[in-house]
Amino acid sequence: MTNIKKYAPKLLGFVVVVIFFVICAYPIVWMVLCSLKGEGEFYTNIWGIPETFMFENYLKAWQQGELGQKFLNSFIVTVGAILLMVPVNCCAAYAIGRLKFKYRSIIYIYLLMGIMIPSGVLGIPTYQVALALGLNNSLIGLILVYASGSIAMGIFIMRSFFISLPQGLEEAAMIDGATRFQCFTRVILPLAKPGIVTQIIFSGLGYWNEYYYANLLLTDESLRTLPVAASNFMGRHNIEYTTLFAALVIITIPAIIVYFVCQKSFVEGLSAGAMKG
Amino acid sequence: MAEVILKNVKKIYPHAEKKHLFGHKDDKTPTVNASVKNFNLDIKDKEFIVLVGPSGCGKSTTLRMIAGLETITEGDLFIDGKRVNDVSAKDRDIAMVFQNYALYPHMTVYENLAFSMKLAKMPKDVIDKKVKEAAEILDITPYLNRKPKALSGGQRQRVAIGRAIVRNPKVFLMDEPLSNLDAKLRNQMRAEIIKLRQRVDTTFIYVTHDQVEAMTLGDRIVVMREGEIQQIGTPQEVFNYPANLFVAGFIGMPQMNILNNAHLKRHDDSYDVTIGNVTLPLVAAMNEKLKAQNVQDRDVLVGIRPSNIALGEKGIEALIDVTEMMGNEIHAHLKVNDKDVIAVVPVKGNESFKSGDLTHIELNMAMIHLFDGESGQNILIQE
Repeated sequence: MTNIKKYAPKLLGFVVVVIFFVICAYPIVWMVLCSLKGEGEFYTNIWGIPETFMFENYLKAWQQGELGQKFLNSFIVTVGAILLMVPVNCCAAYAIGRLKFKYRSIIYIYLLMGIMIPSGVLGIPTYQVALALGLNNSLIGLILVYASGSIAMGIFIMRSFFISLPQGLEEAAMIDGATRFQCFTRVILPLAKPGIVTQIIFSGLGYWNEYYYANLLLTDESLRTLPVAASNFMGRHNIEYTTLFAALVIITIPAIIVYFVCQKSFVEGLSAGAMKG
Repeated sequence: MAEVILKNVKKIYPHAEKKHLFGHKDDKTPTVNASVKNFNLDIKDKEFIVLVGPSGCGKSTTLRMIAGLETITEGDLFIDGKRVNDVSAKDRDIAMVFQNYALYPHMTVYENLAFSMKLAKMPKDVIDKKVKEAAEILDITPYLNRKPKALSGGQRQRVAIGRAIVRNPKVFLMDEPLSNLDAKLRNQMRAEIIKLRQRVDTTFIYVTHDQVEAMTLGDRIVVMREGEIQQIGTPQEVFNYPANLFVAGFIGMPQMNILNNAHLKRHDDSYDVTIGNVTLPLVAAMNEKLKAQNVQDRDVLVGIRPSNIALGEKGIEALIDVTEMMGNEIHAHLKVNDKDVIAVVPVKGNESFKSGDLTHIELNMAMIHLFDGESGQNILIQE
């Protein structure tokens, strides 16, 4: 009886973890298995392991979807938006979090309101602005839209990092002869690395998988990104599921690799401010 | 090496800053709260000054104003003859050791020590030499490649001190540098600071709430309370001639006993003081001082250090409450006219004191202090 009492919470926890693991992993595993089936087998053996592994689906997806070019486009847009968004968010969050100036709280609340507005609502106005500025159908336009869309969340994440760092560090740096900007770049920013990684992963995955604005702003086939390319596999009358799944696997792999490489910093980033430093 | 002069320095924090995001917006009429009031102090070149006082007395604020980390609301601050009110911290040529060390966690000990010199764009070989010298002085050479989190509290404090000494500053500021250390390490580091002072030979301004640190380290002590200087003097002066009741109670351990309900009476050429129903004549030296100031009859408070009270057959009646055996002396907690009094008496053979026993206390009248009943000022040193 005592043994049951002792181990029951652990067992319950284990069961919950297993259930969540299955919920998370099942669609990915199913997508990979389906990507390796023949078109016929997909309909006859939808849940099972492939009888023969059709690796040529990947080659077909790559060629048919012209994924090489799309990969490059997605890479340019994702990296470009990250390179633009990180410095802007860090500087803004530092100013809001660490400097004292009038209406600081109001500006912060105003920026936070950006999180509450659904991105879909902004589709038409964004398109009109992009059109007016001649930024439609260009990767730069999409980079600007993505980067500006991440400002609210990015500032929210980075501000919590900056305010959790002891004031004494900056003061010590100032006495050591650092300017305010040197305090920021040489002391505060290196310590906020987990926060920067968190926003890179959060936003980067968002940019990589983003469909709505990419489809709205990019009309030229050669400029299209991976999610838009994946949708091309779904025809009006026919969907090649196995090729679609192969394309989806190819699209997903970089995101998974990035997540695993940065996992440690990402978890640190999510728990920032949870404990007193 | 520099002289530091503070002239009528005042610090006021307007409480206009809203605490919460959706806090009260009533910031049009900020409440005014002076943290430091009319602070005047001349610190000589190479002097070790200690600012001491209870929490919230303004000692750290004063230090931070000298450092350039707080603005000065009113008054002037001079370092080495130059007014520096509007000079930024980085240009004041000062170094500071913080209470929580404030080491850069992402840098190794070497990088922490070298940081200020790198910012000053000093040559690499000079930086290397200075860092190694400082590490040698502070005995932290084996830890140069470690990050601060891999060091003990004492080692971190040494690194913080090292970071200050590599800069060879005009003024060395220390904000409660030992308060995060345990008692044993604190004693050890106190001795290290005394040695460091001999070696560095510059102006030191040290903030502490610990009167033992103040007494042992300072050439002069500045006792502060509620933003105001209570007394400035050498440790001996402050201990022997406390300016007022606050200083008397703050400096000395166990703290000075204060006997109230006392009355000072002047006779022609002499004075006596009545405590309860016992009248005690003052010693000649005190009579002279009081006469010179023409002090008349008045209510006073009598201060006496525990070590200047003897237990015996004569004197003021006292009830033994509790005794603490300290090894070479006994701290006897007594009740005198319902007032708590502590006496420190040497251990003599098998002599013992029991709780509840009745005894008498004799005051060493040459060592008493007389404080004005109303103002609390020591009437033996000023009027």
